[in-house]
Amino acid sequence: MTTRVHRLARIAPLAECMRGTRLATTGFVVATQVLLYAELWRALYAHTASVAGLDVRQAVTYSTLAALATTARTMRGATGESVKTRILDGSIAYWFLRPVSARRYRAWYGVGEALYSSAWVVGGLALGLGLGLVAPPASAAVAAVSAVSFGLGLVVLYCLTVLIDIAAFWTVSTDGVTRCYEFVQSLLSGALIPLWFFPGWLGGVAAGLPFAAGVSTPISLYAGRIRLADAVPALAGQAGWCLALAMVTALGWRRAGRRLVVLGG
Amino acid sequence: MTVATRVRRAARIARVARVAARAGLRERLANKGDFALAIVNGVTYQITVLLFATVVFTRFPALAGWTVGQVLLVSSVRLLAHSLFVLGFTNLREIPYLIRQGRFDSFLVRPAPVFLQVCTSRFPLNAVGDLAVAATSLGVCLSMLRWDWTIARVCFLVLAVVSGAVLELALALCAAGIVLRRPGSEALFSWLDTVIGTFGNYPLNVFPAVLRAAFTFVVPVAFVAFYPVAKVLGKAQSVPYGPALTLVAPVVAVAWLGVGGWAWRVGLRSYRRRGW
Repeated sequence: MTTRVHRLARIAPLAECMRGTRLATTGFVVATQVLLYAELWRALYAHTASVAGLDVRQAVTYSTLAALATTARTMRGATGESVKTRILDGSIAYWFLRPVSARRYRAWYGVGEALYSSAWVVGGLALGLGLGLVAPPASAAVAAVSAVSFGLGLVVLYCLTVLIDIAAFWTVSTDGVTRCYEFVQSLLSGALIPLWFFPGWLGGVAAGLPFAAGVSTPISLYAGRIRLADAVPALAGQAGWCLALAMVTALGWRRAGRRLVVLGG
Repeated sequence: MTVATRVRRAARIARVARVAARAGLRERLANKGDFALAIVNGVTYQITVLLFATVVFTRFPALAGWTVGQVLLVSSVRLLAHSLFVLGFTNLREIPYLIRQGRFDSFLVRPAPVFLQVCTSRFPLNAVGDLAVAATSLGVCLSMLRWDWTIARVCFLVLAVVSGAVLELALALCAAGIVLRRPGSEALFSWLDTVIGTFGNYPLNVFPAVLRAAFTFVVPVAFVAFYPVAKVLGKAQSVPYGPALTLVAPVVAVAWLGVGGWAWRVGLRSYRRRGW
């Protein structure tokens, strides 16, 4: 079982690392996005010391970590392995004929994807700390809590992505749904704009949704926007979303298996 | 080639484009829910960009002496240029998927230009949403600016939008050429989208010197909207590297289109099916 898991988890990272061009392009895109956003925030703070309680150092730290987390996630896809593509070419049938269930296969494949993007985040963080772009965590406890929160955030984002995947069993094409999800996710997770820059009501709504648990919560903990004393409720909220979304995705997979229509072939 | 032959060839290409576009629209209509969401998507994506800009305007009022209405005009011209690009050429970004599906290889053996087949491979529904947001944004900013309309001003704005669209096409062709030559570099498309979509919305003056130079001389993001809009607003004297640059956006666009066309041809010649 362990060997099988290990092999499944290796698929995505190996495919991403197969071509030097792919790694070089990802590195170029991640580095330029981080540096451009950092310069944008610095330019915006040129005439002001603090906005919404956030100073330039915190803003650049937040922006760097958000750009690292989101860009590294979107750079994946070397294998082209997704429910949508498999449904469109009919090969989704194999997912249901293998000794590993479709749900487990997707989950272990997702672990590999998460490890790959996390490697970019960790590497980028180390480089950001070295270059002075990212402020170091206030204490070892903050670093530890942020790491746990980042892990929980990955689970939340994985579950949300799988829910979109599962929708393809009903809609076949999910381009529209996927892009709408990307919009909602980038907006409400705090990946593009820190949530505390939003108007009060929108910030309140966004903070209560699972998208914020994926990106905003871990970065806010790291940047000191959520104090260490408030970390337990924040982590509990993330864990709650993990549990709720895992239950919904499990239900979705069961229904999807009964719903499966194989096209093409 | 005689003029008559050229005309016949152009007419045949136009007919192929029309038929392919109609077929693409029928394909998108096959799934009504996805059809509606694709249109909504164009709106939502551009709203995200505008929301980011709105947060910047409201939280950081000092933008190098530019008012909200003036910055919004830069965003609107960029949005309109982007909408035109999406309407005609957004499928260039789909090349990696077309290769993966094997469709790109079939384009190479058909009796029609590959570029045309790529551009008509899918109906660009999100252009509808993009255009709607761009027109609304332009309407709002023009009402804020309260201009005296002159023919010269209108012509210059139209030229700015067309130049911006041509520049986006040129950069997308460069990226497509690299992707065809070097598999694995397809992230360049989303990178271009983000860089132009995010950094093309602001006056160049707000950025540090290194980014001003990069957006003027390396990746010409500033020519998509900033430089021509500065001329229209009478701010030519305040732009980096001199007021002459506010007049040359069409020339820059044509020059980059030449580079893009060359990159596309080189990419096509060196394309080998390697499997993805």
